[in-house]
Amino acid sequence: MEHLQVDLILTGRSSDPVFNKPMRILLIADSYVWMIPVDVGPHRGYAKGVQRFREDLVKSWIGQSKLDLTEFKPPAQWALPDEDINQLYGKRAGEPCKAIIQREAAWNAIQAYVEAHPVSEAVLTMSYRTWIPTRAAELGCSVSWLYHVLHLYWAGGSTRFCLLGNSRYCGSPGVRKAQSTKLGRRNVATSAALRADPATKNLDSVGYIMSLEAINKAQFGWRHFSAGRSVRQAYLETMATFYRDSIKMVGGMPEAVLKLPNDRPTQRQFEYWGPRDESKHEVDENKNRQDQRRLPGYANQNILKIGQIAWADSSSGDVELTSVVSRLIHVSSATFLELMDARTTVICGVYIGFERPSARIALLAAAHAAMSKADWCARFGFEGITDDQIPAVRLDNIYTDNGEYRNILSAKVTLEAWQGWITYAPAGVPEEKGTIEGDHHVRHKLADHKLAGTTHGRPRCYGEPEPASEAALNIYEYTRIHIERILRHNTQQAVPHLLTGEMRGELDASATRMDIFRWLKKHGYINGTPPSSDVIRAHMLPTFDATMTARGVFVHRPDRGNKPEFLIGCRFVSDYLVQSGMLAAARKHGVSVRLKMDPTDLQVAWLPTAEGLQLLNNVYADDLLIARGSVNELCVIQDGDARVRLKDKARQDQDDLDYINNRENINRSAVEQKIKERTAAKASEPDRNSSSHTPSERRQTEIGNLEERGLASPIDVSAPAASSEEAVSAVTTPSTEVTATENKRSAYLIDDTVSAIRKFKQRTNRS
Amino acid sequence: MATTGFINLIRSGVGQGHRDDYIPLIRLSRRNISRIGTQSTGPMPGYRRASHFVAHSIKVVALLMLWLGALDVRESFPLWPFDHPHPLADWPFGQPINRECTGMAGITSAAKGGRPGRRVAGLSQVDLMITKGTLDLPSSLVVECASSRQTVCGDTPSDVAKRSALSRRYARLNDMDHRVIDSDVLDPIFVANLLGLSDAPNTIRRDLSPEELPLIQDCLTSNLEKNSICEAVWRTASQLGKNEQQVFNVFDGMAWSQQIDIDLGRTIYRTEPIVPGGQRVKMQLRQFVFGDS
Repeated sequence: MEHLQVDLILTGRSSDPVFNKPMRILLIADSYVWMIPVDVGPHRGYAKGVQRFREDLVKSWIGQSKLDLTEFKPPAQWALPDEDINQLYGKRAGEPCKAIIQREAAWNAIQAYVEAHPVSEAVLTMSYRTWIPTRAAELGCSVSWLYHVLHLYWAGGSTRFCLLGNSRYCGSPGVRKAQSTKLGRRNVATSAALRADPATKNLDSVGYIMSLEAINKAQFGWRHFSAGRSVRQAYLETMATFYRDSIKMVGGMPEAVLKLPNDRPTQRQFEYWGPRDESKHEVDENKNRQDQRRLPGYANQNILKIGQIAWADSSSGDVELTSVVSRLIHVSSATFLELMDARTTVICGVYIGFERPSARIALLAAAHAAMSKADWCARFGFEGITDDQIPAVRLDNIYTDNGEYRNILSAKVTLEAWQGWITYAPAGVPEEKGTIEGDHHVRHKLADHKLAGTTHGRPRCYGEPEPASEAALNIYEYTRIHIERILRHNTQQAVPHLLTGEMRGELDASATRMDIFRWLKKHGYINGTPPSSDVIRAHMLPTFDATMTARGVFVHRPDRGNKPEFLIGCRFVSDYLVQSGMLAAARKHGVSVRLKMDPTDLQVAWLPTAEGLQLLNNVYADDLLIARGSVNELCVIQDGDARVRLKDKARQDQDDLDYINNRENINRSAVEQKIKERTAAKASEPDRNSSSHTPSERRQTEIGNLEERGLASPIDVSAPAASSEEAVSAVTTPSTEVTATENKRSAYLIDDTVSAIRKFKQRTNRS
Repeated sequence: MATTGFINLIRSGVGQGHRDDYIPLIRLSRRNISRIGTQSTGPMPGYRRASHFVAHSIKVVALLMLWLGALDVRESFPLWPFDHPHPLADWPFGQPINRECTGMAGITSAAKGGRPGRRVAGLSQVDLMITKGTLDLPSSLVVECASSRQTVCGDTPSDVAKRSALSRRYARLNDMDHRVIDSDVLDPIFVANLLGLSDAPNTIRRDLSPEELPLIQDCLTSNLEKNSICEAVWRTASQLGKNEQQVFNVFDGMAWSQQIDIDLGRTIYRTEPIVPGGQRVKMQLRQFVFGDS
C-alpha cells in the first residue's frame, strides 16, 4: 500500500517516530496532505486539530520506512447498538448510560455543521473557525469543547459513533482502589460513640484502614501461615510478624507483644483480604493455567473415524473389595482402566483388577479393546454378548496422559501389534481428554460411590466407618456391575449430541452409541479391522514364568522374582501337551516355560510354541476360585494360607510326633508280643505259619479271628461278614500304589492329567 | 557436551540412517514429559519405525510433507557442532551427496520448557529434515515448525526465533533449502482429513496383497465417477467379492495419495460424491514448499 488515500492511517515506526500518534488522512489536494491525530484509547485528552504536510515529504517518509500506511480499525464498542452499550456500562435499566449521553450531546452540537460541510470543504475553507464561536454561544458551552468534538469526529472517520464518551473507563475498572476509610461494620468504640451522641452523623469508623501495604501483609500471612493451621492461628502469627509493638522474653524465648487492636487489622479484615491475592495466580502457575486456558470446540471435533483416536485413562475403583473366597478377607480397591473410542464415545476396552496402573495393565486394556468380549462377559454371567454391544476396535491412536502408557514397552508393543500411535496429553491438562475424565465421574456417581465399602474418592471423614470394614463385594461382583454399566452406556443411553446431519436420515434422537457406531461402520467411517486374537495375545498379554511337569504347566508366583514358587490354583494342561509329548518329556525334570495369560482370567493361558499359541485350560479342582479369582487374589490367598500354616506349625508338629510315637509303640509291642509267642511256640508246637498253609487259607483264618473279636470292618463293627472282602480290598489297595514302579507312576500321572482334561471339558464347553 | 557425549550419540546412530533406519535425537520416554506439547509416537504413513514428535504441530507438518511427496521425513535431526557428512551422504536409494557440512554450535535452552530434550549444550536440532526431489537426485530441506506468535515476540528474539535463525544459517551455509512452517495456518478441516487418512497406507500394506490392490483401485475409480463414496465402495465390494471395510481403506489410501482427486479442504461426506480439487492444491503447495518448478 504505497499510494496515499483519504482515510488511511499513517503510523510512525517505533525507532524514529515522525508522529507521536497515528494520523488519519483527511484530504489530499494541491500537493498537500491534511491529516489529524487519531486517539481512541481510554486516556485520550484533548483531540488536536488538522495539520497540513507537503505530499512529497510524506511520501519520502514512507519511502524511508519512517511511516507505515494502514487501515483504521475502530474499537469494537463503536459498532455496538445502544442497548448493548447500556447493558455493558449502564447503571439503570431503561436509562441511557453516561457514554451515550455524552455522545448524543456532542453529536447534537456539531450535527448541523458536519452535515452541511463535508470534511474536504471544511479543512480547505476552515469555515468551522467562524462557526464554532457562534455555536458555542448558542449552546452555552466552551469553544474548546466544540473544537475537541469536531476534531474527534473527523479523527474517528466522520461517524457519530466515534463520539462515544469514555466514561466507561472512569474509576479505573479492574484496578484496586486505595482504602481511605475503614470498610465494614462500625466497631464497638464507634457504635458506643454514636450512642453517646446521636447527633453525630458522619463519624468515621474507628479501626485500621487497609492500605496497600497492609493488604500485602495480610496476603503474605494468608499465603505462608495458613498451611496446616487454623485461620485464627494464621492471623495471630501474621500479627506477631508484622504488627508487634515490642518483644518480651519469656523463659529465655522472645515473644511478640501485639499492637493495640485499632493499630492492626482485625481477623475479619485478614479473612477478607488474605484470599484476594493476585500474586497467588503467579505463584500457582498450574492453577492459573487451568483458569485461563481455552477449551475451543468439542471433544471429538475433527475426528473422522472410529478407532482413529481412543482416550485411555485409569483411576481407582473407589470401592474396597473383599476376597472371592470370603467376604471377611479385605483385599483392596480395584484399578479401573478404560478405553473409549473418541468418535462415538463407545467404551470398547477395560481393565478391572487389583494391579496398580502399569504398562502391563495398559496393554491388557488395549488388548481387551481389540478382542471379542463374548468370553469375558460369559465368565461374569452375561451370556450372548457380541461385538454389537461391546465392540472390538483397532485403536490407531491411544490418547492418554503420561501415566500407564508412558513407557517404552507400551509404545513398542502398540507399534508391533497393530502399528498404532500413542499420543500423550500435556502433563497436568486433563481437559485435553475431558470425555474420559468425565466418565470417571459418571462411573463413580452411577456405581462406585453407591456400593458398600466405597471410599468416595477421599480420606475417611470423622465419624464415617472405615471403608475396608464396610467392604462386601468381591472383584467378580464388582466387574459384573461395571459390565452392566458399560452395556447401559453403549447400548441404552440416547446420545443425540453425537448425531450428525448425515445420520439423521436413518437415525433419530433416540439413537444410542452403538447405533451410531453401526452407522459409521456401515458407511466406512472406521479405520479397519482389529488384528487377529493370536497376534494380540502374543504381543499384549503379560508373560508369566511357569514350570512344565508330567502333571501339566504350573504358573510361578509373579511376585517372587526368579524363585520358582508355584501359584496355587494354576495347573494348565491341554491335549496338545499330551499329544506333542511335551508332558512326557518333562517327566523326570520340570521344564521352564513362559505362558501368556490374563492375570484376571485364571481359566485359560496360552503357551507360545513353534506351531503358534496353544490354548491351555486350567484343570485345578476349585471351580469357584478359577472362575472368579485373579492372580493377585491367588497370591493373597496363598500368603494367607502360609501364615495360617505357620501359626499352626506347633500343633501339626506335635500331632505328627504323637502319631509317630503311637505307631512306634504299637509296632514295638507287636514285635515284642511276636517274640514272646515265637518263644512259647518253639517250646510247645510247630509253627502255625508253616508251608502246609497257603496265604489264602491264612487270610481266611485271620478274618475268622477278627470276626470273632468284632474287628472285621473298620467302619461298622456290627457289619455282616459279607462286607469283609470289601474291607480287605480297601486295606490292600494302597499297597498296590506303594509297590508301583516309577514308570508306572508317571503313566498314572499322565493318565490323571488326561482324565483331568476330560473332566474339565465336561465341566465347561470352553475351548 | 563433552566429546564423549557426542561420540556416544554418534555411535548409537542418532541422526543417521534413512526412512525406517533413522534414529531421531529425541525419543519419547518417561523422562521427557512435557507440560505444553502434545507428544506422540507411532509409525507415519509408509513407515514401519516409530517416529517421535514432541509437539502435535510437528506431527502435522511432517504428515503434510509426506502428503506433498517428500521422500523421507526425519524428525528431531541433530545439528552437529563440528563439520560432518551431508545428511544425504548415505542415501541408499540413489546418488548420495558426498560433501562436508559446516557444523553449527547449538543454543543451550531453546524453547525453554516446551521442548524437552533440547537442553543439550552445544547440540541443537531441527524439527524436520526433509528429503525431497527424486530417488536418484535427492536434496535436503530444513523445516522448523513454529507459530508466528512464538517467532515474533517483541524486540528481543524469542528462543524459537533464535532456533529458526540457527537452522536457517545452517541451511544457508550448507546449501540446503529452509522453511519455517506454522501449522496453525493450515485449515482445521484439512488437518483433520490429513490425520484421518494418514493411517490408510499402513492399513492397506497390512491387510491387502500388492496384487489385489490395483484391481480394487481401478474398479473403485470407475464407480466413483457416478456414485457417492458409499455406493461406489459397496458396489466395488460386491463386484470383486471383497470386504467393504477393505475397499473403504483403499478409498482412504487413494484419497491420501490423491490418486483420486478429492479436496481435503472440505469435510469428506461418504454419502455424497467426491469433491475434486485436492490435486491442484497439492501441486501448488508442493511448488510453494519444495520449490518445484
